[in-house]
Amino acid sequence: MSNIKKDIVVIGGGPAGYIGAIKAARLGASVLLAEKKQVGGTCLNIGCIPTKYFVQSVHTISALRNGASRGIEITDPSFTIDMKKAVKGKDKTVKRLVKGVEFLLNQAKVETVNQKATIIGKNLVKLEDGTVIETKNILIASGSVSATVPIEGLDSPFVVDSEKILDLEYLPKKLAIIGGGVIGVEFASIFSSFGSEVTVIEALPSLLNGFDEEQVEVLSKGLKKNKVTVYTSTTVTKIETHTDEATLSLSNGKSLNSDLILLAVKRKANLSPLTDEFKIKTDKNRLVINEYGVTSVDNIYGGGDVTGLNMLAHVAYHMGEAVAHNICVDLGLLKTPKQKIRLDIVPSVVYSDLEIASVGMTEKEAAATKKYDIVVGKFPLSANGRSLSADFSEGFVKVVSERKYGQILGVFCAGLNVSEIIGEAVVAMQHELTVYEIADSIHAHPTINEALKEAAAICIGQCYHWGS
Amino acid sequence: MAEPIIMPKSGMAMEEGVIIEWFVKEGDQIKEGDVIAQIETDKTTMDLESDLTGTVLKLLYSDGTTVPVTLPIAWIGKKGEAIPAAEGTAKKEEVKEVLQEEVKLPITISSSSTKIAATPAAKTVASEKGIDLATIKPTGKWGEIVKNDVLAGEIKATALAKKVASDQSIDLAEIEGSGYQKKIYVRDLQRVTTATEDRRVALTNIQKITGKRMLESVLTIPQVTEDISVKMDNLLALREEIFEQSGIKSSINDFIILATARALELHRRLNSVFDNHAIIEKGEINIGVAVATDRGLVVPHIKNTNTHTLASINSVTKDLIVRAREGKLALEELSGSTFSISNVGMYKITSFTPIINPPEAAILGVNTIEKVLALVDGNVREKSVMRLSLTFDHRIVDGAEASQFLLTLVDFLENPLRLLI
Repeated sequence: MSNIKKDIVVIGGGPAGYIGAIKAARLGASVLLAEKKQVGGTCLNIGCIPTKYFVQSVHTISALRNGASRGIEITDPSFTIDMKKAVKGKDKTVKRLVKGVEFLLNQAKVETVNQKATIIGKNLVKLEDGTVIETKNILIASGSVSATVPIEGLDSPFVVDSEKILDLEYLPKKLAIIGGGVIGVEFASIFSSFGSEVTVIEALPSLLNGFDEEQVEVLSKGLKKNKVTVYTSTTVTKIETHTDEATLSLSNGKSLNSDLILLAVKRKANLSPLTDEFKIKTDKNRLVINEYGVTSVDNIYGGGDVTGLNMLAHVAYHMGEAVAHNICVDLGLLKTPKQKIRLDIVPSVVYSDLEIASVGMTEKEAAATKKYDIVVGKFPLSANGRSLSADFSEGFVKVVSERKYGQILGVFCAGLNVSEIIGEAVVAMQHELTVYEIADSIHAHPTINEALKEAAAICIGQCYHWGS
Repeated sequence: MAEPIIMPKSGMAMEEGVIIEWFVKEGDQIKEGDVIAQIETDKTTMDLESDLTGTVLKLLYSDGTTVPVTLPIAWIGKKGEAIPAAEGTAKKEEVKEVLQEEVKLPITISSSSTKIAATPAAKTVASEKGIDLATIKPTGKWGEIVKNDVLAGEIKATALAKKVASDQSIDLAEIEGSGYQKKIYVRDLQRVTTATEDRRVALTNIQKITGKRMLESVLTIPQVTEDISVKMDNLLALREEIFEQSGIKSSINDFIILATARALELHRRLNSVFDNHAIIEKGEINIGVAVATDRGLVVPHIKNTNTHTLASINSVTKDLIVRAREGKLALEELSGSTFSISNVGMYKITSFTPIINPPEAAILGVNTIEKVLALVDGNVREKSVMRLSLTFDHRIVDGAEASQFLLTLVDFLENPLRLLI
């Protein structure tokens, strides 16, 4: 039997795990964090952060292209991407952030072990090296892994997932992306800007399923400008591998050759910490938790992608914090009531040269509830000074509200830097500010952010920068 | 010239007030807005603020004295100024005279009857922030609300929660918020309104006053209710004929209001008020019509109802009902009725016991029209019959008189052509 005793063992060092571990430790719990790779999780190592590093390169390229019209004369306008250097730069940023997380864990006195961990009893966690830890509580935050789809020839060496594509040593000439969701669209934007000829194949009738149609339109235009070919309602039926490239056969009868195929379909929960020795309830390959984050075992909690609820880093942060709070209540370290995990108001953002950012119900979803007299205020960024001065006239900020109280039901933005303004919409919705309060607040000028105020003002007929 | 400060009349029902304590003495300099005394009414204790600036020349009564409303209780003027000789000791008899004149019919709504003691600063802050003083717990020395009470009592709720609560008449003071520092969110309101839990709905001002008056009515008035049946066939036929010939679509209620006004002309005792010392048969016949609104029951009246025609009653009533529901009635339309009618016929009610709208002598309840079988010349015929339920104050009216009034009324309704003459 073990001789290590802990209050909490956290399995997984991603956003849910490391935040949960730091919070619980700061509240006085003895915490061990087991991470088989490096802390930071998918987001930091192979997801949000590395892709944003590359998206910034997209902005740089775009700026170079726009230079001439601004009187910036670049003598030789051609450029190439050195993928090795690009990856090295990306790694440097990732490493710095990982160090930051390690520092925070150390500072909080979280014991971090670089090992795989499995749960073998209600209070027992076994590490890869055979060490068994006795613990009062367990937080399963083992994250997610790339999912796959059954396609003949998918084992081709030209097929990579969203993790491997981040470490490419060469720039593909022709990149085929299977899946037109957030991951697929972001990579399409990155590689098309870098100079690859990109084709996106999406099984559903539109890219970015679940986003507002007008938002998707703005991003689609951007992809079109970069000569990205998009096939919707289309699947890949077969992949044939040749020496230098592979041929994809599509359900629409077409075929295309690519020297790299990115499989960017869904992600699935990583349930590897679960063992047959000790059963914890799962459903459709995800860990089942209640609103307080508790699994089918009362001292074992779950948070982040492994719960399959809403696979976003910021959702994982929220879950990690709530769960750490609740465990500390169990441990007697906190005397306050347990916290519920709230996933009703969660923003989501897609990055390319332009961005789309959303929170809440779309106009269609709001109408489907039949509960509201809906008023939509849409302010085009072609009337926004900050956007125009950066050479961008595409995009909008759209507020979906209801007439009776001015409640904000959803906010949908597309355009330059709109990811940075969705936070205001989240605060407003979470804390029940209405379009009246937003319209009544002074917003800095010139900012993209102003467009949110204007959109709110349109809802109540008080916008003086647009309309009549 | 010296001017008096009078015992304030806070609400129509207030007849006298007690000077609990003077906060000033003769010779003191005071200015407008100063609290000079604490007054107790039958309902509440309040600070009396001076509406004058000057020297307190004379305090006419000492602490603890009960003084009829509107009587001078102090004189304010320039230092050394004389006060009018006759003033200072007003005779009780005179006071009564004044009072009797003043006993016009109590109004249904009176904002002043719910006056709340608060300092001017508290009132200003409350008004700026849109806070209802009634929701604030006073901590002032005399039970008055001070500015800090308003600030402390400001209910923390989100903008949306405030709007929803106001719309659904939910009293935020009754709700514990789930947010930071107990801030109230819409979800907290929803907890109040879920079906499994009790829901606490704050009374509107109208409901508070109506409730008080109805209780006062049943507790203080010996009420008797009589039911009588009216054959409605003639009236229904006439109504149809009027419509065909003139296009005027009068309601059954219009006929009943008009018939009641005419019957009251012949039975003035039913158009009286009781003031403890005498029965006052009112000169005007102003029939009040009970209207149910979102905010509660209101009873606007048709002035000099007996002088109206069927057509004018129809238009006046329609207008009153619309404005009652919009809350746009003038105060004088809500006070001064001499007899009330409450019609529940549209709800298929066959009989009820209306409660007198004090100080009126009676109220007429109107029920639904039913089809009944009747023997006419030995044959079974279908007839339309309506029941009227009259509640009367047995101190003013006795059974015989009330019954005679009903017979007259039934006669009008069964022979409605007479109403058109």
